[in-house]
Amino acid sequence: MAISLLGSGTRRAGRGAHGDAEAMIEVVATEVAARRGRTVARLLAPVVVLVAGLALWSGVVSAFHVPAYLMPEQWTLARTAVDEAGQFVTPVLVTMREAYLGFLLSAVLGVAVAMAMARWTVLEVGVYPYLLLLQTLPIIAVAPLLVVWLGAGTATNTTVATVISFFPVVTNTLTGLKATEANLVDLYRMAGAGRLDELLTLRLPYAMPYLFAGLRIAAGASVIGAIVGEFVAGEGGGAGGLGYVITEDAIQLRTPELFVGVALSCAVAVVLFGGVSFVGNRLLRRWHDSARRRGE
Amino acid sequence: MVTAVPSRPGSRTPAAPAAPHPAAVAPPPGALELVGVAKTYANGFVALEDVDLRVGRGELVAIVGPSGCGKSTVLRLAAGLIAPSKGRISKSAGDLAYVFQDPTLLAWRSVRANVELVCRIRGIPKQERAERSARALELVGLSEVAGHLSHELSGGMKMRVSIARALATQPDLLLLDEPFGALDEFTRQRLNDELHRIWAVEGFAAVLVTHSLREAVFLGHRIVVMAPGPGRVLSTYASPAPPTGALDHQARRESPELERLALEIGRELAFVS
Repeated sequence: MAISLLGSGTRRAGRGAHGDAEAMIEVVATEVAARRGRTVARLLAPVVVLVAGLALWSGVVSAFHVPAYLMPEQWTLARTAVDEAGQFVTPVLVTMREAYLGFLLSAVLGVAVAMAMARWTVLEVGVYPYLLLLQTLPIIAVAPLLVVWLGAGTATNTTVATVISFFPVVTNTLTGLKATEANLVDLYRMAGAGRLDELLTLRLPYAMPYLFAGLRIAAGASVIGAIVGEFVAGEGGGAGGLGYVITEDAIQLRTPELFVGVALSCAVAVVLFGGVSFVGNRLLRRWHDSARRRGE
Repeated sequence: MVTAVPSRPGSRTPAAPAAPHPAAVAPPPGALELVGVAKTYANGFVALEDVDLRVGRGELVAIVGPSGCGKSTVLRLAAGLIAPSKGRISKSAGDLAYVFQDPTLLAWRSVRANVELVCRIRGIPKQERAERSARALELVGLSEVAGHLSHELSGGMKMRVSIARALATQPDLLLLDEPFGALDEFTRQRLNDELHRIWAVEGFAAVLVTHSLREAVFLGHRIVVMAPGPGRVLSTYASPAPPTGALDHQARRESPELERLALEIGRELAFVS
């Protein structure tokens, strides 16, 4: 029986060739070149967009003589970022700790709650409406209450980050757990599988792509949560996070510092998002289409 | 009852001795029996009305009929996935295995792990599981890809894995719900051949739901024709050349008797739908 499973284009071409080796090599070479071309384009495209954006920005600033306190020039920003790097270190670390811890809590709690709801339908029927309510709650309006309860500091900010990123994890994971192929569930039931076996070895792996979609949303949300918390809760034990720094800079009209603060907030979120995506891809790429690159 | 398939000169020697299959010798004791079975779903839809079906040990029964005639409902009832609204269903003491239309595999597990899945759930010890899966994979010709992820296989190979998983449970009764419906004609024929060959070795009884009349007459000792609205058995045909242990598949495929039977069933179905 001929088995061609993982044969790359190269190997397949090699097997089928009958003496016309040159033509074959040419075909392979073209294929490789085309693939390399695609990779270069993929890397280059965002860079081109970035450069164009920066050029547009500096063009507008100099053409309309926009004052620096509204829109600083790029070199001013670069200098600010370099000169004052030292005073951003602590805020970045504080926000990172709050956001990442909040993310971690929401991931663990979210998956646990989703699994419990998938196991006991009563729980889903009873609890889900209130989770939905929690999601529609304007978190910025609740943050002051959390300050009253938990004090102005890291505890509050971490809690805000957890609360805001919890729902996407729960709802996505639950969707995945419930979307498990009905025939597979029948197969498990026919074999007499226990509910825990079904949940852990069938539904949970099946839900992984959904779970990671939820985690990616939660990654961005947790940083927003931490910064919102910092807006409201303030300095928090003398070491304020990026949200606090941004508020202070805005009040004092230190626009370049404000820009750097915002950029660093993005960076904190991007690092977390990238990490989650990386782990998700590593776990899923071998068996799920969502994590496979086209043409592979 | 045994009708020997004419073997052509130069044809492949059968792997199994051409002794009459147990099913063909005596009136077989039942592997599955449905008596006066009806099924009405909660929404009021009458899927089946007064269905009688008896499957002997080692017997291959094909069920054909237009969509909505309750073919799959019969299998789901036989598997115990749903309960009948009326009537009696009895099964032999042995194990039954179900093969779905889709491969229904765990995409993140290896082929071997998928084949062992049902045995694992049933608590069969690791050592025996390994032996069974190795044998089942050999039967479907997939020993070489045991370590691959099922996600990496072609449609036909996935279906083979699904069949191997059923075989690993060493069933007395195999329920097949349009198992080859999604495959191309050539792959379907190959898998028909393989299913027949494996049956000749293993001797399980099977109920095969199919849309293909050629498949039904190729594999069936009997062909049950069902009609919809409500689902019922219209008629049952006994094969003029019931499958035996003989393995000349090409001759069987070209058998004029079976072709006539397929045409006859086709005519009856033309009036039904």
